[in-house]
Amino acid sequence: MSYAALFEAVCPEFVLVLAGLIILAADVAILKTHTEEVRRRSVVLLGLASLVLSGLCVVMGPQAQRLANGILAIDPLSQWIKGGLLGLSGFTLLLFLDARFTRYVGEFAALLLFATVGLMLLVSSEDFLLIFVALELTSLSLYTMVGFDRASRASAEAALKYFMFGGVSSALLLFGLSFLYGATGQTGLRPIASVLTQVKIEPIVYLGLVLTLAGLGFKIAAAPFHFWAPDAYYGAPVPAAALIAASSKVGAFAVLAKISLLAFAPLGLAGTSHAAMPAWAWLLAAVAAGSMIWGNLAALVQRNLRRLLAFSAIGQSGYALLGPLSGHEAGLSSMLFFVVVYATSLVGTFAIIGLQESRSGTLDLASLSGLGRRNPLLAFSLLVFMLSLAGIPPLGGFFGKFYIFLAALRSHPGNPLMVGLVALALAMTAVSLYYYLLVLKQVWVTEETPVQPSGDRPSPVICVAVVTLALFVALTGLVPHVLLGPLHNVIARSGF
Amino acid sequence: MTLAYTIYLSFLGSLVVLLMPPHRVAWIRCTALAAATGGLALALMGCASLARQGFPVEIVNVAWVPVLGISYHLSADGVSGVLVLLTGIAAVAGVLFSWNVERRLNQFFALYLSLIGGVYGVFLSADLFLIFVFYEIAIIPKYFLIAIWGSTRREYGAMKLALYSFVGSAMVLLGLLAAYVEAGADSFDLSKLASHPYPVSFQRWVYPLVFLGFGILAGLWPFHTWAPTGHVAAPTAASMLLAGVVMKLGAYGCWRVAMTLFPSAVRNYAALFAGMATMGIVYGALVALVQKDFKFVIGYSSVSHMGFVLLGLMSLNTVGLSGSIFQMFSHGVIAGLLFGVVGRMVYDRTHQRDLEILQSMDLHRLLPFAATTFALAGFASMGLPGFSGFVAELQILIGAWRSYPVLVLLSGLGILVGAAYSLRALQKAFYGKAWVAGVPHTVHTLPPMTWPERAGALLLLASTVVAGLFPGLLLQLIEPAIAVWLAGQGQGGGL
Repeated sequence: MSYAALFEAVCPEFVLVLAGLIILAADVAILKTHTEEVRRRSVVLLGLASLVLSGLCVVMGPQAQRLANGILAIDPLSQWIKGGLLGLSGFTLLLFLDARFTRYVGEFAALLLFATVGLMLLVSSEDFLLIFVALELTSLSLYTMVGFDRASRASAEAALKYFMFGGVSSALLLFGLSFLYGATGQTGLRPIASVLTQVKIEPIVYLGLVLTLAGLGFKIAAAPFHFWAPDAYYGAPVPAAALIAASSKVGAFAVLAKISLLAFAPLGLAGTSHAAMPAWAWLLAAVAAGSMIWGNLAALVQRNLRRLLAFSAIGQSGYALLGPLSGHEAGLSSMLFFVVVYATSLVGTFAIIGLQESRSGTLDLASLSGLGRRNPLLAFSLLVFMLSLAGIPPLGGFFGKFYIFLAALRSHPGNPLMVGLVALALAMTAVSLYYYLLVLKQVWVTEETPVQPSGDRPSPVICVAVVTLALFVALTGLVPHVLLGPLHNVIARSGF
Repeated sequence: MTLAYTIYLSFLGSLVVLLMPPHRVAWIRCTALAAATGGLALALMGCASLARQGFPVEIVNVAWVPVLGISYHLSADGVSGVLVLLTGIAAVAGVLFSWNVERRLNQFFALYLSLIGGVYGVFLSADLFLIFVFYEIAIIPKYFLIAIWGSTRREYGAMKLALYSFVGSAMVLLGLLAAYVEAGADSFDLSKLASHPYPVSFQRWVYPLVFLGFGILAGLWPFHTWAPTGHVAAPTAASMLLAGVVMKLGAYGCWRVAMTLFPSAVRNYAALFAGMATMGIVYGALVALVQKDFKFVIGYSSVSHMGFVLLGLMSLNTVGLSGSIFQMFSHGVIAGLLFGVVGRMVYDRTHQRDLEILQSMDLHRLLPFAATTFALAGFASMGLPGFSGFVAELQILIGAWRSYPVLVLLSGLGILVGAAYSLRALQKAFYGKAWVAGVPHTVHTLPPMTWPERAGALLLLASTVVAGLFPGLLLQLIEPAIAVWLAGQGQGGGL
């Protein structure tokens, strides 16, 4: 392995790390004397520039490269996901423009970039060692970002909970990986798979698998590993919450799919043409079912928009888990389509939450009332996001769900478990419409009681960003092919 | 083919109206009326050309999501033509009866027209995915129309309706996905999937799922409870559309999707669903007979009349099926008229729907036009000869007689009760105590009838009378389409 090849492969990540360091230095050295507003704008601008530059590196750089036996494994799919991650993180960084929760703007922006680096490494590795390290890089950055609002008790509580659950789940993951290593003597995903095909599979492998899935279940906030989510969504500063809800989710689902498709393939899920499913798939199915049920039912009683989103996120994770459970290429592409559209709606929704909270403080559903009159553009975007999350055509969320259910049914034709899971998912979709409509009811139906003079106008940059995201969500539903065509293309070229 | 432009014109109108400033009331109303009238004109032209040139007609077929074999495929046969025509009539009448809406007018008509566009789309789609998309597009505007502009318990009624519809469509979606996977298909094209011989065991569970999923929206007993509350809560135009065309979407889906895809199972469940339909007829009529709220009477009568549609579908012969489609048209027009009278002419003026209170108002003197219209609509609804309801219900009963004589007798009872509740409502609302006993009038003047109301009422009345006197106009479209469909079902080994 030459250093030149290594540099070429990690160039996008390198750009971000460098930019993070520059931001830190510049914030301390040059910007110190300026007002907070100027500093915030500068770091956001620098961060966006570095994300764009990194995106260029992704596009121009190698599309397929394996270094050190797959510790770094770049293929068209990983580049595609990285592109998505960079875009989501870019929009998330924009939300920082309007956030007044901290004086340490340089540190926050740098952490956001580092978390993105972690996610990018996560999807470009086929080795448990780097996967774990990248996951930790992301998690540690996120723990800190969640607790960044030092004036808020909720933020501190959220950070502590997130850290405790995250620490335990990292330990579980590491524990599981060590079992897998012990059983196979390998850390690479493909080598593990090839060993598993040759030897008799021992119980220890299943133990490793269960623990690994549990560790990843935390990252995607699937029940019963979801307890941190409502508090983190509730207490975290808006950009941190958006990063957890969007980029981090995309990365975690991508790696989960990769692990279950590559390493655990010999355990009987991927490529099965017969109807039978391996025992451990039932475990994943149980997690999916539990997440759908718990997330959607608990969301029904939430009166705070952030907590509502957190529980709905748990439910949505349940739907997305049908993707890895399908265990083939359609499962992968449907899951990625679904998660990317989902993440886009969440960034947009958090942007609106941020704008509203800077106006009204807390964000109970009731404080949304009259948004349709005050700011029709934002209210219309929120309509698009909520209906997309509920799965109403012709929006991206509908097509994502449709495709994921279709892939699930097609992967194991006639399997009653899959039919049952899809039926459950559809039933829960109907449940979820209720609480998404409750949000929209506040926005569009309820008349605002007192007409308050709105103090400051919402930041126009963020409004443009929100509308852009809403247009993207609508476009992916009206013409799913714009996202699906390239996705199928890269998956086919990546050898899944 | 002009029919497809009804869809685009409605969505375009919706967008244009939405972008208009809300205080430009006259512009918004005229734009909405223009879009609806344009749709009706296109529908008439489309039906004329269908009658002249025969059908089915391919309108457009382009790949939409090629990876999954989903295409944007529209086609029309006689049934689609008749239902598009019904939608056009109901749309124009609805705009005319909404002339007095003032609050958030641009949003009102934007939602209204997008609902209409979705309905047109369902009737013209020939791709299962597309049917489903249009079908769901119709749900959300209904919610907002009722929740924002509705009256009694509007938020409850709106949410109940949205959730019922959504549960129904979730059932449909599961069935459609299962059918696609079971066929190993690479296309969602309805005719391609319909030609796949599904195993009988598969049809046994998927057919009732899809049929009931659509049946919920058709007001199939006992899943009809959303209908009366929704109708009552809705603003006039939304009730008119809800009863007039949206419930038809459900019945149309039962026929076009469920019965077409799974012919072998249709017979197995025919008696069950026919029984449920008859329950709907009788139960709806009996409940309508004892309602105090004027609008609930009409709401339950819709359940009763939709029961005829479903009973006709279950007769599985040309006469009954044609009658069923004819009844969709007939009830769409009549229900629109009844809701127009109750919601717009009476309620918007008196702010009363309680029949006991209306009794003392002597409305036939204050609102003679409304009284006459309601009397005529009531006669049409009872199925008196000369109106469209007579032709439709007669055909359905004849068609169903061969298979279900008992149910036909029960339905005949339903018709009798139907006459009773119509006359009771007419008598209480318009020719009440004040007229009988000379009780002093409690109300002396009401705002006079406006031209949009008269125009809307005349349009609907003319439609039911023309269809009643010249049923051949519609049957020449419906019967060949049904014959083709039955022949196709026969080849599939069913029926």
